Amino acid sequence: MATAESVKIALAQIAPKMGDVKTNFEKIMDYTKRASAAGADVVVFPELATAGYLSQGIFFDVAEKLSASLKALADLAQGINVVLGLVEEDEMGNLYNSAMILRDGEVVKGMWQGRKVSSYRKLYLPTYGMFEESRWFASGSGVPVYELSSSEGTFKGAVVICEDYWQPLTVRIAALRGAQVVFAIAGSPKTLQKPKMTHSLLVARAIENTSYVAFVNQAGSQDMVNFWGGSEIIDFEGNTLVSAPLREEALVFGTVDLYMERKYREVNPMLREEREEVIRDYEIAFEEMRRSYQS
Amino acid sequence: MTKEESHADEYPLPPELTFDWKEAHDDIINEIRWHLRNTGAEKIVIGLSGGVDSSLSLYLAVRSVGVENVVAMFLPEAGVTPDYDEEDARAVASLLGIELVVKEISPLVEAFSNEISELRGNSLALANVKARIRMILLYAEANLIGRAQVLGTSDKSELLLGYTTKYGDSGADFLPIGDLYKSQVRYMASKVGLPRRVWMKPPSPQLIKGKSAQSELGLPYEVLDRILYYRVDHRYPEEKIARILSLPVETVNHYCMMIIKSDHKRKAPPIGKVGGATINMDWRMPIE
Repeated sequence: MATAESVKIALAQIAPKMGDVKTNFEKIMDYTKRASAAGADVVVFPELATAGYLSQGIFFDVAEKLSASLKALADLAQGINVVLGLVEEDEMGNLYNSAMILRDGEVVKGMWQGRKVSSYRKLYLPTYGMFEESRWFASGSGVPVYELSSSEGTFKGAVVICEDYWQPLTVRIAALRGAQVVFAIAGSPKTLQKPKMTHSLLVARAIENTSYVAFVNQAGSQDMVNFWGGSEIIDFEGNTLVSAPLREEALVFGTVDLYMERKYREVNPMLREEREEVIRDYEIAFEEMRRSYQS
Repeated sequence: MTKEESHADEYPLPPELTFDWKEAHDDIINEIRWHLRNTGAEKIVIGLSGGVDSSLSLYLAVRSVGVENVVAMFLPEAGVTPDYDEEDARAVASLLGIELVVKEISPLVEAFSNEISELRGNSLALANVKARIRMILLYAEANLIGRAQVLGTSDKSELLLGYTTKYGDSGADFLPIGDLYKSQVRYMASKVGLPRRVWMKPPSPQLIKGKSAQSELGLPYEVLDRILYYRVDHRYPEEKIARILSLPVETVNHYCMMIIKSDHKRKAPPIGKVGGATINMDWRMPIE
């Protein structure tokens, strides 16, 4: 199949209601229909879009083992990729803060270390300040990359979830595996500083990896905590192509030019210039730091 | 014109507490709107005292859900509530275009004092009774109109120092300005155009005649807020805070101890653990 030169992305900035999976799925279906009708190749929903972010003990009740709702959403997603943040449960009863990509009635498989995987599981679980994700979730082990279909052909995408992009390596790994667009989904609680900090981080992730970053955050407010929205697509030079309003629900569209990104990567070798010695030194520095904690 | 005069319409915020008031204003409005939506409530009941906390809270409530969905209750006590508080409460209500519901609490205070005569000799116990009478009236109104939430007006300074009555003024369904220090509340009140006398007058709970917050707390909020800010927002050790603010270390120790001692006022009562699914320990659920 041909290589896609551009991809139209819909940022579905929804405000999930905590624990109300039925209402949330109805909203997700509605946004998917609207994105599809507008000709989007991908519609991206926030982290924990089916559950809400601060749902605590409710996570146990809303964990997904491929529910009828998820299947219905996959069936609805004809000719469109739905990137969805949800709670996933494995056979052992572990919960994960995960993302799945649905299309044409199926869960799209990602490739990770030569294996096919059904989901991306959040790697960094914030457990400090107001966050307690390690209490509820187990963490994933790596960054799969998805070969996705669009109206023009295929392209490579990856997902990272909130805290994952506060660390530089996840998006780097996705880009090294060939991701052209990184879907950075979030349930990011607002403080006065957070929107500016997050934007700066996402710009850095985009520039340092010569990659498009499509950021989608929850909107609304849960237990008097705002989820600030501010979803945006950032190009490989750090420019914001489209952005959604703060706090309010929105569906905004942007098109990424993958041909231009490929040409840009030819002369901007951020990925090629990554060096084995530096990665090795990173590992050693990490070990040194860990030992210094333990001593 | 001096610099001071040029900022005459703005509360002089201590520099440490500088914040993006407009962004915080919009954040709080969003939180109030979604709180009602998420809880299925339609209306807000709020006690307006004429002080800066309740005036700003009322302003934010009205901006959030509209004047038709807010009930503002002025609950004075004859002989204790100063006339200027009533004038200020009326001025704020009039500015916001809201009708003030006025209910005198003196007969209820009198009834309690007649029933429990020892209250007359214990000003603290009586002061708490007054705050709780007001809470009862606000909740009664919320029940009577239905689908209503009681909006509490405590600020971060009062909450941290425990300068509230448990189940009194702190008895509420939600606390929209509870993450703003008193000085920040006064600053935001000045920026949104509330009357100058509301945000410049010395804060007082008006539970005991003539007592201001400063006379009870010992320091003005401009100083208290900086102690709290360095301790809570930055977790500075008390000795360092004393050095920065040129205060005796014992003074800083005193207020930091007030934070610790009042912890119980900010939390749900601890539950004696027996089983493995104890509420709030093991069984943790969101509020909305």
